[in-house]
Order: sequence, then C-alpha cells, then structure tokens
Amino acid sequence: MTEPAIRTAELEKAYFGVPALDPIDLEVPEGQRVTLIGHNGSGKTTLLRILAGTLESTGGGATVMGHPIGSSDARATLSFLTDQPVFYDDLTVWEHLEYVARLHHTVDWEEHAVDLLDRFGISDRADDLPATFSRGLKQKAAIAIAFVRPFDVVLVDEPFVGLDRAGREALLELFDDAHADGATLVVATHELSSADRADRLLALREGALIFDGRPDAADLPDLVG
Amino acid sequence: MSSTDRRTVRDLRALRRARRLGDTEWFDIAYRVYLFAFGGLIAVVVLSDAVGEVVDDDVTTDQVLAKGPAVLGLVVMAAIAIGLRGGSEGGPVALEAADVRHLLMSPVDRRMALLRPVAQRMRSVAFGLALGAGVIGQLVARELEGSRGSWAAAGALYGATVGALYVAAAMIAHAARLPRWVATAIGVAGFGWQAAAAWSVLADDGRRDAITGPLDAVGGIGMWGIRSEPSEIVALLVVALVSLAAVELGGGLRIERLARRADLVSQLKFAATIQDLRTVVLLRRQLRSEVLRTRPWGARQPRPVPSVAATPSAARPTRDPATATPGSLVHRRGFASLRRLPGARLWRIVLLAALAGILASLTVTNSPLFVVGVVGVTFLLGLECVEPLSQEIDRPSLTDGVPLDRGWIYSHHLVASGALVAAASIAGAAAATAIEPAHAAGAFALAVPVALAGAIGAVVATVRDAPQPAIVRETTLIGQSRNADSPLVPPEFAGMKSAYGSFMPVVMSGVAAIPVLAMRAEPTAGTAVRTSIAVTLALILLVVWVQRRDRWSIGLRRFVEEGRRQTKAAT
Repeated sequence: MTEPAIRTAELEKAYFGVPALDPIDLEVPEGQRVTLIGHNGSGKTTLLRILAGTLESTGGGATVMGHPIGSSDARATLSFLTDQPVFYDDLTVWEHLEYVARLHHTVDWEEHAVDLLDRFGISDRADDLPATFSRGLKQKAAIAIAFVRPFDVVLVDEPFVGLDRAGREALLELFDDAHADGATLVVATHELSSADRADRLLALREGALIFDGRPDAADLPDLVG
Repeated sequence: MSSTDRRTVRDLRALRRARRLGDTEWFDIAYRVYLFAFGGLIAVVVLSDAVGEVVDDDVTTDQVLAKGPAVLGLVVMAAIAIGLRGGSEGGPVALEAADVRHLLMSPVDRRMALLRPVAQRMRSVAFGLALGAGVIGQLVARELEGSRGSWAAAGALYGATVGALYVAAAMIAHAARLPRWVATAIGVAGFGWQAAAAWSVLADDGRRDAITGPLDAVGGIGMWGIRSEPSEIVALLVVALVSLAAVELGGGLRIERLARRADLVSQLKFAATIQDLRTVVLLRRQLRSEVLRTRPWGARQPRPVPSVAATPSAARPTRDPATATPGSLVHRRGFASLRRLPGARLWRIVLLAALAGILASLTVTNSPLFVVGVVGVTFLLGLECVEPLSQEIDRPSLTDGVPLDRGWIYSHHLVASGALVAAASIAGAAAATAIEPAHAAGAFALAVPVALAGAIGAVVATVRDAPQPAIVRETTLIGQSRNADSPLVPPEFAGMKSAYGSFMPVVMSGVAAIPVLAMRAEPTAGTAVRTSIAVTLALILLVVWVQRRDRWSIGLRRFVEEGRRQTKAAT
C-alpha cells in the first residue's frame, strides 16, 4: 500500500499547558489538494508548523511521505511557505534562489527561477535585497524561493496576505500547476473564495478538527464563524 | 553533509562575509585593534592600581593555594549550572532567522551546518572569560608569590575553561532536551555540593575533614601561576574532550527553540547595538520564555464574570464627569500586575537585591570601586520591578485613549513598583548583614533608600521610551521636520548623543552610591539620616519629572516657536 503524503497519529500540541491542537488523526493521500480553514487561533498554523518540523508536538507523531517529520528526508520532500517571509539581509532575491536551490540539489534551477520571477512580475527586482521590499513583494519573493526547489508536499500558511490581484492569480495558477504535477498541497487560508479549488477541506475550531470532506459539502461561513 | 552541500554553505558564507566586509580596509581594522589593545592595557594597569588590595594582608600564598581550587570550582559550577539552564531554554547558539528557515529546513546534515556557529560561540565565550580572568589573575599576583604574567596566564586558562564548560553544559542540556526543572535541579545540586566543599575548606583550620568538591581540580587550574597538580592536568584534558564532544552535538539542537531564539536574538543584538538597555532586559526575559502568570499570586481560582442582567444602558455606558479619578485605581492595577510576576522573576529580584547588599558591604569594608556594582545592580533591580509602568509605557495608544494626563498615570504607577523595590531591599540588608554582622543597623536603615535610589535610573529609562507629544515629536527644536535630512546634532556628535541617552539612566542610578559612600566615610546615624533625606529629595524630583515631562517639553517647544515667530515678524 502506498504511504500517504501526510499521516498524523494523535498529533497534539499545548502551549504552556494550554491546548492549541487536540489529538488529530489525519491521512492526506499523495497528490491531494487540501484547504485548511478556521478562525484565528483555531490551530491552523500550529498544525502546519508541526508538520514542517519547526514546532514540536507535545504528543503523537506524524510522517511526511513516510518520513518522520523534521528528518532530513522529510525536509527534502517538503516545502513550507510561512506567513512571515524571512530573508538574509545581505542576499539578493537571486542569491536566495540559488542558495536554496543548491541546498536541495535542484537541477536546472536557473530556468525555474526565471519562470517563477516572471510569473510574479519581480524579474526586475532579482538583484535587489528582499529585506528592503514591501510586504507584498516580500511575499512574492518568498513564494518563488519556496517553489524553486523540488518537493512532493507543499505546506502553505496564509499565502495571500499582502498580495495584489495579479499576485494572487499567479499564486493560484502555481498551485494548480503543482497539483497537476502530482504534488500534495495543504493551504491554510482565510480566503474562502479559493477553497473550491481544493479536493478536500479541513476545518479547525479551537484546536479540534470539526470538518473533513469535500469543499462543496461544507457550510463555509459556519465553519469559520 | 555531502561535499556539494558543504561547498554550497561555504560559498554562501564567503559571499556574505565579502559583502559584509565590503570595502573595509584591513589596515584600518588592524589600527583599531591596536588602539583597543593599547587602550585596554593602559586601562587594566591604571584600574589595577586604583583597585587597591584584593587579598587581605593576613592571607598567605599557601592559604590561597589550599583554598583557591574549591572556591574557584564554585565559579565553574555556577557557570555549568547557568549553562544547563540556558541550554534547557534553547541556548547557547543564536542563529539568524534566515539560517533557520533556509539552511536548517533543507536536507543538509544539521550537525555539520551547526558546527561552525557552535564552535564560534564557544570560542567567543571562552575568549571573553579568559580575558576577564586574566585581568583578575594579574590583580591577585601583586599580593602573592609568583610573577604577574604567570598568574595572568593561569587566570586566562581558567577563564577559558569556565567559558568552554558553560557552552558545553548548555549544548548538552539542549541536545539532551533536559526539561528546565531537571537542568535547574542538577545545577542546584552540583552548586550545593561544590559550595559545601568551598565552605568546608574556608572554615577548615588545618583539619583534614574538608569535603572534596566535584570541580576542585578544575578550579585548581587557576592556581597554575605557581603550581599545578596532575589531577588538574587530567581535569583540563577532560574539559577539552567534553567541549569537543559538545561542539559535535549541533545535530541534536531543537529547531523550534533555535527559530524562537533567532527572532529574539536579532532584536536583542539590535537593541544592544543602539545601547537600549531596557529593551535588552525585556528581550532577555522573552528569550527565557518568561511569561506573566495567568493566575496571580494568592488567587485561588479565576475571578468569575459577574452575572449581571444585560440592560439597554449596558450596551452604551454613560459617564458621570463629577466622579473623581482615584489614583488608587492605578495603584490597584499596578499591584495586580506585580501579582502576575513569575516566580523566576521574583527570585531574580531577591538575588539582585542580595547582590546589591553584598556589594554595598564590600564598598564600606573594602574598595570604593564596588559601589559601581551597587549602582549597576540596583539599576537592574529597578528594571525588574517597574513592570506596571513598563506595561503602560509600551502601550501608548491605550494610555492616550484615557482622558487623563499621561504623566499623572505614570507617576501613580511608581507606587506599586516602589513598594516591590522596598520589599526586595530587605534581602539586600540581610545579605549585607550576613557578610558583615556589624553592618546590620546601617544595612537595614539604608536598604530602602539605596534600592529606591538605584531604581531612579530604571524609571528614567522606562519613561524615556514613552512617545513624545505630537508637537515635540514632529519637529526638532529648530523647527525642522524630524524626517528632514539635516538632524539637530551634527553626525560627529550623533554617537555621543546616543551613548549619552543610553547611559544617562544608569548614571542617574548613581544616587544609590551616595548613602553607601557616605557610610564608608562616616558610618554614623547622622550620615544615614542625611543621606536618606538626599535620596528622598531625588525621588521627589523624579516624580515631578515623570508627571510634568510632557508639559515641560511642550512648553519649551512653544517658547522656541514663539521666539521664532517674533523674529520672523520683526524681519
């Protein structure tokens, strides 16, 4: 049997004894596109950060493509686009792309990088320092960096924050392309308008999974209300 | 990590280093290093002579050799205990946030990726402590047998050992994922054992029943100025091996802690760069994951929300302008804030107060230079206690949303903090009494004035962080926009102005030195009363400044602007 792209078993998290994520059992098959919704503080970011290996769970476990979260193999297969872009102050966008691509042993990364910069309309800013960019431009640069390397699973947290209309459309197109290529996507968002593009909708409320099904079967306003 | 990964990381670091150094002239750097070393050497020699005796006349070299290892071992154990606790809280390495996000999230071997930052951390801590201990070594050498150079070298080696063990302990605690309480328990147990050994050696009058401390041999390295034991050579080798092993533990560091630390440390470095001492203290608290208590001290259960029936008036409350605004409301809010201080912070307050008491006692009986420590420690004590004021200052939009004068609110916040400082000062008096029982009366009489005087700087540092009134904020005194290219002071003086602004609060805490130095000169009841009055006057001035600072700023600005308007009209 094929190992799911993401599997969690009784995965839970508490901050200073306060539960942030109730025990969650989840399986996301390879190639599935998942939208994760929930109000502020519902546990979306916590779940994604645990899956990405940047946050430790307080119970249970999880795997990404069969590898324990946070392991070298899991990191190789998973790309995480956070809601807070982080850059080196002294590297240009292009140098970031090169560095990340090389760390992931990416073949022909230059062509891919050029395509990503074109999609988001920031080709002319490739030699600029992203640390000096506006919020929206930083987000575009961060998206390019997250997608310049090979991956099987992409975790995305609030990707539309700060993006202009063209940027949002470019990002949705990028998600479509990645999905068509067989990647597994989990996108946490408050943008309900894009939820119907997903194969599956997960909704969290106060750390508990309250909905798991097809987006067209969900009462979206009720789930995030 | 494959050779490709290694090359990638090396290329990146080389690129960044080249960019950082840019057009820096190596000759210029060498010249600065030379100036620093030369100035440092002169400062050490001058200060060494100013310090006077650090070892009593009746203490012999033989006694130092017999008792020194256990006492120095206590310092080593303290460093290890601090390291263990720091490691359990995510130390000792601080990476850039981008390194955590991009480098550590890639599939490279984390052990290799972290080898260099860990080694750098160990090197810098060991070097800093070696420098400090070397200076102390040459100080001690003046009153003992052996050359100044050999004692300085032994001190430096001992300091480096302490630094290496501190980082190694932190690495081990972090990689082994020791819970904080376990790290603290190990540290306390080790410290207790070594303290018992040091105490038994100090109290020993030639008897052979002294306790052997676990780190006596490491402490003995500090005695290499004139003698060394085989066990100490073995201890040094063990320390070296442990340090090397600890450097290799990078792969076990927790990415969650590294990420959190990366964010805070970048802010901390920035605050330190601009010499913002208060922000440094605030960020260090965050680094230690120190959060205020959800349930206040003394509260058995959360206060229930009153069950009052909703009425139309509840939707839009009304105001009675005749109702007086009681200062007690702010006082109550202040004491409520203090009741939420975490236990660790309260312990720190007690320890700082005790340290201030010990330093004050040493100032009176030993060297007046210890008073610098009294001022510094009471300043830090004040920063720990001004939480209510700090909360208010850091949320100006909330304060300005209240139809009350900001200065009035700030000054009333001093009541709760002052009470905490006063309560903590009892620990200082007790510590001073323990050091020198003959000082008991003076210590208890002056503890509160000294502690409150030391807190003056903390209040000034905090209040200075409050936003200025809009009229003052938007233009400089000469009427230019704050954003104008030409600042009020020439660039040559900007650094001096910044340093002045940063260290002025600490200097103001110098009021705490007055009672201590006065008691050193003339330890009488009259001196205590007179200096207490002086401190009281300083405290009154402080309260007036806090209350009227905004009004004075606006008044000065209006005065200058009126003058400018008149001049313009005349011409």
